[in-house]
Amino acid sequence: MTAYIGRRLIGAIPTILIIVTFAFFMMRIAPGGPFDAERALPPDVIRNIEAKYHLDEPLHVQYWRYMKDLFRGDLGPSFKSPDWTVNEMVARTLPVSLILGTWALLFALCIGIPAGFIAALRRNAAPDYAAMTFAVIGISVPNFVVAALLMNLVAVKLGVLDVAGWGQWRHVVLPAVTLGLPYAAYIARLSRAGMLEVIRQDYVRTARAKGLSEPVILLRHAFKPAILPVVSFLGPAAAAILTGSLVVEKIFQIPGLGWHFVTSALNRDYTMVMGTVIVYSSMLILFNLLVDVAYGFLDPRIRYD
Amino acid sequence: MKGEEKKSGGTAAASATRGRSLWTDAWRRLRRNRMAMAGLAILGVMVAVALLTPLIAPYGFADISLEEQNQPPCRAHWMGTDHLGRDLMTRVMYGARISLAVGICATLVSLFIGVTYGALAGFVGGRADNVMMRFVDVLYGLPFMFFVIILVVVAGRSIINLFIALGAVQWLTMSRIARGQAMSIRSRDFITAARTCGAGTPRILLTHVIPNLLGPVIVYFTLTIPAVMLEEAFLSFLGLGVQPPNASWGSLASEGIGSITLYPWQIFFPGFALAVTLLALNFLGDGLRDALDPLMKEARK
Repeated sequence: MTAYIGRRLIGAIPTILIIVTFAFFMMRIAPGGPFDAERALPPDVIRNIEAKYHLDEPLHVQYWRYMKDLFRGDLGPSFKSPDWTVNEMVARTLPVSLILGTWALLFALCIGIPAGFIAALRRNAAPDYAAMTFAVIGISVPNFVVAALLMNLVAVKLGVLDVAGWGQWRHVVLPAVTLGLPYAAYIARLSRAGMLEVIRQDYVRTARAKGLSEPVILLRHAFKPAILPVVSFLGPAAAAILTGSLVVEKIFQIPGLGWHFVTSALNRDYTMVMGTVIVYSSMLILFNLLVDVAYGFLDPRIRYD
Repeated sequence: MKGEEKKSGGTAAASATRGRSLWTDAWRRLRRNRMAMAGLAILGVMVAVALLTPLIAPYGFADISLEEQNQPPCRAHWMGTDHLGRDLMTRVMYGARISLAVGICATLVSLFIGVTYGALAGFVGGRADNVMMRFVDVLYGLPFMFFVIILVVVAGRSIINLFIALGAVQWLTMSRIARGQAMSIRSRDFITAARTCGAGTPRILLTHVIPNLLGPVIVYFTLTIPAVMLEEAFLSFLGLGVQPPNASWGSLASEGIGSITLYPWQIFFPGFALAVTLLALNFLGDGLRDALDPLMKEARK
């Protein structure tokens, strides 16, 4: 197992290098730069700024410098907020996004798995249709519509939670539900399919024939194999939740990495955009690895060697 | 809606006389699926509205009326007005044109790249296939939305760039499906026959392989359109997609979000138009998959 993890981590290095290289050159060939102000700056000032950020050097020298800094874990200074380095910015905003994402994922799992299992066990009956209709709706309705509905009903009409903001527990509920809802729908579909597959198996029939009670069969024999499809979805889901949080963070005005990424992209703050992409990609690769390892524990038929 | 059902009934009856082909059979199954047919009908209406908008829209797209700012839905303005007093229903109708166009065009781009790439990999096989599919695996691990954002920022925020960028990241699953199909087609007799007749690889790919792998690809096509439309809406919502004076459902919703507590209809109507369309597409896609799937199983036997 250790050897497998090691191999995967080494295999991730070229992927990250490709991402960094691609992002670097994409950003540099872009017309217009971070210092295009509304009022044209005097050429001397521009030359000074460019010298400060090494933008006057040939491209390959800049690339090499960026790579060397990156290797030391330094993502460089922000072009637009001179008082901040990209590292500080990430350190400040990433935890916010992680908290939001974790709650959203937990919500999705707590709603999706039971809904899917109930649908599978009451196949072609009312609960099944209800759960699956909910699933299609959950996948189709855009985040910002859900957010708008929740804000209006819960925050404005009932006055229970705040419309937007960050810092208290009451601020996390609405964004987490908004962000988690489509994934709850997806997970419901997957766990329904997983459970349908499992309850057809011979060993479940054997367990029934032994006279085990239905809850014992479900929890001890059927649960683990039935959530396997959900586990393998967690990698892509984590990616999608990170992406989805761009929108949710904007709506609920949450100072997370997603919101920051969009602002930097609009401002052409190249170092900030690249830093964010690198952080996100690394997290994604790590998360996919975790999911594969967890899969190995849940499904003894899979061996990593 | 009724006219459409009648028309579709007519086609099915006409082709039934020609015997049960794969498509007639699938069509019959699809017609029995009420949700899928409802989806098809809703889409028909949406497309018709989008096409006819310049003729039937009650107001001009950019007609500003400063006496009627932020009006709630009323008889003169069924969906209310926005912060410049523009009629929201007109804008939602024009938004349908751009949202649907981006969804379809971007999916076509992804279809073109994915099918070409996948069919080639699956048909050639061997080491080339291995390398090509490893590349797809690597791309799968990337946070794609970020690359779309970088692409759009770098290349400029025009609609053309938007659907190229979205299409360029959506082809991965399409290529996997096309590859799987191409691999099974490769060993069929009619391919050997074509080879014996002296046809080269490009010719065989175009005339024999690609037409035969379209079934599952069409199902996935229907399911990709809503995904792309949702992504376009996200981008426009963030201010990175469709730019004024153009408007899509996503950018209309984005204009509405600022005043959500005061004038909620400004985000609800474009949002609901999008949600209903996505729902219809998803139901249709699921229905198509169910309709084609039993045939796939039979074919495999």
